[in-house]
Formats: sequence, structure tokens, C-alpha cells
Amino acid sequence: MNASQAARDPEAERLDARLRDWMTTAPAGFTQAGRNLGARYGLDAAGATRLDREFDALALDLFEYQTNRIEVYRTFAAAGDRRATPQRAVDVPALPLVAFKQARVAAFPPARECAVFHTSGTTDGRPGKLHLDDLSLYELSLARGFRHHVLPDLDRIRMLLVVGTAREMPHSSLAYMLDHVRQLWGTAESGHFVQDGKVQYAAFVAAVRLACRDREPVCLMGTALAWVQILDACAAEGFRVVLPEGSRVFETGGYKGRTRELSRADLAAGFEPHFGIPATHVVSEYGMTEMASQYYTTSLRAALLDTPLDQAVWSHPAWLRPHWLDPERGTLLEVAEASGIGLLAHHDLANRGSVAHLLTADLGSAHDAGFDLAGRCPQADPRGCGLVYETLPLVRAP
Amino acid sequence: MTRRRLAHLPGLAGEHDWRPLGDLQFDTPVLAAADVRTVWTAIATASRAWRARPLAERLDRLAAVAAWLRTEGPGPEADALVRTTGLSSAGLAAAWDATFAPSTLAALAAAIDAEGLWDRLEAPGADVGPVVHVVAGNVMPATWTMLVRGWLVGAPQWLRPASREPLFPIIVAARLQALAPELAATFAVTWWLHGDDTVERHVLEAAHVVTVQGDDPAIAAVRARVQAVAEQARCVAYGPRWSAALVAEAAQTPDNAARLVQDMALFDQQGCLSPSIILAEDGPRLEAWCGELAAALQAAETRLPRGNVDATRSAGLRLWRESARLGIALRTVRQLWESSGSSAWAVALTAPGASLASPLDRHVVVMPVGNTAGAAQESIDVVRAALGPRLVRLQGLGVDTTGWSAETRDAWVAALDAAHVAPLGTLQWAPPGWRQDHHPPLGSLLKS
Repeated sequence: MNASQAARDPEAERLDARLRDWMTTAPAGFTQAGRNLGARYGLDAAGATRLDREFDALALDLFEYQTNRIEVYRTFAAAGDRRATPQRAVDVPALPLVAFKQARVAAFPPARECAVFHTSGTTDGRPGKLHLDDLSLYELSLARGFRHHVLPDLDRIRMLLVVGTAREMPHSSLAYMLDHVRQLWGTAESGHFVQDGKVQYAAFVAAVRLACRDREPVCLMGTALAWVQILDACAAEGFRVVLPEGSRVFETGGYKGRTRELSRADLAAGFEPHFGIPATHVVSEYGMTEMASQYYTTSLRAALLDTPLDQAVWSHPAWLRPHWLDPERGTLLEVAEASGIGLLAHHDLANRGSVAHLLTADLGSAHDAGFDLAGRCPQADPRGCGLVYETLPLVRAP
Repeated sequence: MTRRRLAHLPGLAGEHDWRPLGDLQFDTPVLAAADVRTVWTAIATASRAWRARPLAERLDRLAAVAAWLRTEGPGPEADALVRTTGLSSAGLAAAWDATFAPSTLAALAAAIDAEGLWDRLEAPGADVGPVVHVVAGNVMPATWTMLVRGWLVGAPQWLRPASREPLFPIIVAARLQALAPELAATFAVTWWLHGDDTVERHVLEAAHVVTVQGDDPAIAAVRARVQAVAEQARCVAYGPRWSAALVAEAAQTPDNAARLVQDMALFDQQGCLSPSIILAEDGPRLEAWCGELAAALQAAETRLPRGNVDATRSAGLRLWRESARLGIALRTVRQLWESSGSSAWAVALTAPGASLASPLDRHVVVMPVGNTAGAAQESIDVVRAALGPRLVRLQGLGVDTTGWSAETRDAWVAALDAAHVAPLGTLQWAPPGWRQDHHPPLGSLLKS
């Protein structure tokens, strides 16, 4: 938190300015159905080509910037048979996420650090760490993506958050993100319902009843793990309300194989019986601590704006692209060129201060020039933001 | 493809219902308690008759049967076994051979010798009861060796095959019905759902010993089930294990690379006796030798190609390679050799003392170990620290310590404490009497 102690890297400033300009105007998510990325962003062929060129140019500049400053990435990128200089974004070597556990993956000295987010999944007691020297790109990416996918119709909404606050969980990227969107778009009646590490079920239910009384739509926000707990408790207690029209759910975090699992569709369907929120109004987010940007499902946007969207694939802002590591051949592909199951890599241009192109242990199935999640690699650590909530006791009494 | 019925149930006449086994093209029988009792009675009677034969005659017969099965090969069942085992056609032929080859007369006699059981097994057989084998995985010797041990002690045996590969014991039973009906009559094969209250409960209720292979949760589940329904039964668990090789600098030759690759390629590294980590004495030749190992793995792709792996496993191998590349950047891995354009094989040479697990499927880790002369204990300690808790699960150790003193070799072998130690290239050809998981292979089936 001593960012002022070291001089700012002029190259970082130049890149941030370029990225900020581009991210401010580039599409924040899919706006219509289409057979390719450009069409999904509502672009014509020329617009799509321009977007590809801009993405490639920024990706290659970031690669040069990051390999010049991050030794572990420079050495990794040169290891094996990948010595050729990348010509396109997809050629840029994707760093395995485990690197964030094993090394400081940062393009700036510790004195410039302004925040550190920790991953929750560990097998060896060491969390992965994302070091940040500037939060402006992080916040811009979050704000544009969240607004596009979760709040395309309203300027403010009452947010009921089943996560701890950033003050309570200073190294949780999820807590930071949700605090930030609450500050941007939450009404005064918004509240958090995890305190001292416990889900405050009774207080949450009271807040839900209050929203019903006030006839004001709400956004229920939390991890999939927390929602499973809450839905189970609602079922056990026979809790049923119908929240005002326009209410919605934001869920994230997955299950990490650590508790009763529901498919995304089953979880989405679970809100209607207890809260009167239809499955279309449940937005799933897919992201990770090491990334500044996120993927979202599109059913809410499609329902609210009455727009046809490809709901089987994840929507993402233009500065984030999924890539596909062909497991057999070992080559990185655009998802449009891929088929079947592959390893997902994410090229997130908002990751200026660490590494933009990241290789996950997540499996994706490619279809319709997009992807859906298809589980985790065998032997991969359970990981992710939602893990911490799995073992949280539920406090039912007020 | 037509569905195939999977059951070998001596003594059971008449029809029964069948139900599908998973998503494979197999059906498994639905048995009533009386059916199970009928089968147990039939195989117990046949086992008594088998045990009543002179021991020497039994050994001759078993060795002859094994030799016959080895010579005959998988035959018309090869394609079906390729599907269930996941091995390539050449891999299946090699695996079939390696399954039966070790059951020689000498090896069978050695198994009895090792436990001093000649007199006891010559006697009529009051010291054996019904044995149930719960088998896991797709490695055929895991099934065959269990049956051989049961035949050596004269126990009636009921075998539950692995759901992934349920075919091999059925094929063996069918072959034996033609060749050695007196053996075919001593064992039953059926698959059942764990926790099943019809077949499983009735089979276990009669058991004296239950051998169970599998991962820790599977073993715990079977153990709990045995305790619940068969209080008298003893559970003999064979858990997840791995194997290593110990190779001195003077033994780092192209021939030994080829021998090690033979150990790795057999069963596609899925068996617990397949080396996945090679402890290689560090020296100026080590990197070149790793290259020879890589060349031998590449050559094996022509001679003994790996079976297909699904996209999920392939993704795991790819992620491991990328992590190894990261290891190069972090200086925990010195070098990586890998098949180009496929996930067929890889060799990762680690830094001394660095730990890296192998994902199997012909992906091997070479760990350099320090100069052994005079500093053996220090080198051993480094390796023990690097392997950590994995060390207690070491099953087999392939060894060539050419150039080391006997004292140094013995210190290493004792420290690693593998259940089975063998020369390079023969690790997988374990005789029936090898002390799998350190259990006495025959004594553990007998009443104490």
C-alpha cells in the first residue's frame, strides 16, 4: 500500500492510458445472437476485423511489457519449443495459474503495490496472489462488465450480498468486487449478510421480506456455495416469497467439488420456488482472482431487453478473450477454431500489472464459436473464491 | 453392438434378471439370496476337491494353465478388451503376456516357500474360508494374481470386477471352463453396485477374507460395508501405490533406457508397479540419458503405442507439461522432453531435491540424486524429503546400481522400503508371491 514510494513506470502509464481509452468504448459484452464474436458484439465485418486488430496489437504490446518485467514469465515463454515471437494474441504463451502460488507475478516492484488478492484454493497452504499497482483498469473492467450483464436496465438496485465485506476480507477479490459494485449502484437499503464468517440467514430473510413489503426489486448476490446453503435452509423452513418484478440473482464461485453440487441450471431454477425469481433472472459469473475481467451468462439481459442472445455460451467484454489449448496437439486456438473438450486459457488485457494470458485447469467445451465450462482437469486443486463459504455455519436465529 | 452378459456363476442353473452395467455394453445379473448361497456352496465344494489334490500336482496344473492362457493370447476377445482396458492392440497383447508369464512353476513354488506354507497347504484345507475379491482398475494382473493366490490356498473365491474393465475375469472363466473346469468351478464373477442389499450383502455375508483394491475412499467404503454385514471377515486392502526406479550413473545406458520404457509402457503406466519417478544418480551424462529415455519412449510409440486417452486425461497431461515448463522458469525443473503434436509421452528432469508428481500415461519424472559414495545418507534424506508422504505408498522399485557398493545399494533400498524390488525392465513381471502392499500374499488369505 505504498504505491507512492516508487516512481511510476512510464510504459505502464502509457499502456494504462491506451487500455483505458479502448476499454471505455469497446463492447462490454454480447448484445445479440450471432455466429461469431463480431456478430455477437453487434459489429459488421469491418468492425470485427478492427476489433481483432486492436486486441492483437494491445496483447502483443502487453506481452512485450510483461516479459520485459516479469522474469518467471519471460523464462516460461522461452521454455520448450515456443521461441518464435508471437504474431497474434493467441500465439502469446499462456502462464499456468499455479505460477501465482509459486512466484511473485508482477510487472512492478513491491513498493508500488496497492492491493493484493489471494486465491482461496490451496493444497500446500500457499494461496495464489494477484499483486496490483493500480486498480483503475480492474474497476473499469468490473464496472462495464457488471453493468452490461447484471444491470442493463437500472441505474441503482437494492443489493443483498451474501459475502463478507472487503473490510472483513481484505484479500478477497470477490469481496472487493462486490463492495465496489454496491458503491456504484447499490441503494442505501443494500446490505451484507455474512458477518464474522457466518451467513446471517435470519437477517437475510428479514431483508428479503422487507424488499417485498417495499415492492422494490433486489439483486441477491453471493457464491454458488452460499446459495446452496440458503436454498437448503429455505426448503427446510418452507420459506417462500415472491420478490418484486425485476429482482435478480448474481451467483459466482462454483463449488470446487467441496459440497453438494447443483448444475448451473438446477441452481438457477432453485430461486423461483423460494424467492419468485425465474431462472432467466439468475446471472452466473465465471472469473478468478488472477483475472481483472469476468465472463457472464446472458439470460437476464435477453429477458430484460427482449433480445435474442446465445445463452449456451459465456458472454465477455471485448478486452477478454477465451482461448483453447488443444490437449492433444498442445496448440492454442481461438475458440471459433476449436471443437470438443480443451483447456481454457483467458487473455485478459485488463491484467496489465501481472500476466494477461493465463492457462487455467478448467475444461471447456467449444461450440457455436463460444464455450461452456466442462469441469476441472483431473488432479487440479479445488480452488476459487467460493471455497471459503463452504464451511461457513449458517446462523438461523436472529 | 449387442449387449453382453457378465457373470460366471458355477452351480446356478436357470434364468435370472439382468440389469445394465453403467454406460458400457454389459449386463450384470440380479441374484436372490438363495442364488448366492447356491453359488457359494458349489464353489466351496469344487475348492475342497481342488485342495484335496497333492500340492505339487496343483502347482503343475496352475503353471500349465497360465502357460496355456499366455500362449493362446486374447484371441477373438482382443477388440473388446482394447475397449475396456483402454490399451492399444499391441499394448493389450503385451499386457496379456505379462499377466500370465510370471505364473511359472518355479514362481508358484517360491511363493509358498517365501511364507513357509508347504506343510500347511498340503493338508486338507480347514484353514481357508470363502474369499471375496473387489478388484479395481484395468490392469489384468491385479485380477489374475488374486485368483492364483486363492487357488494356491484352495479358497472358494467370488470376484467383483472393476466397473471400468469387467471383461477380463469373465474371459478367463470362459477359457478355464474349456481347459481346466476344476478351476473354473472354484470361483464366481459378478459385478454389483456398492452398498447393494441383494447381491453384495449376500456375497459378503459368507466371506472369511475380503481383498479390496482401490483408492482410499473406495477402500474405506468397502471396509465399512464388510464390517456392517460380515463381522467375521478380514479386510485386506490394496490401496493406491506408485513405483520408482533407482539408476546409478554407470547404469545410465541406452539399453537401460529401453528397459525402463518397457516397464513404463506396459499397462500404459496404469499399474502400481509401473515406474513414474526415476531416481537417477546425478552426473555429466544424466541429461543425455534423459534424451535417450525420451528417444526410447518415442520408439515405443511405434512398437507398443499408448492407448487412446480421453480429452479430460489428455488435458491433465497438457497442464502437467505447462506446469513443468513453468518449473523450468522457477528452476525446479531442469529440462523437459515431450512428444511433439501429441500427449504420448514426456520426460521431466527436475532440479535436485525438487518434487514433481507424474500424471502417468507415460509421463515420467527423473529426479537427480546426489553422489552416493560416502554421502548416501545425505542423498537419501534429500529424496525422502522431496517425496514426502508419497514415499509410504511406494510399491515397486526397479534397480540398477552398477558401480555402487552393496552397502550403498542396500541403504537406498532399505530407505525406500518398496514392496517389490526388481531389475530394470522386469518390474511389472511380478511373480504371484510378491508382497503387494507388504501383505503376505498367501497368509493373508488363510485363517490365522
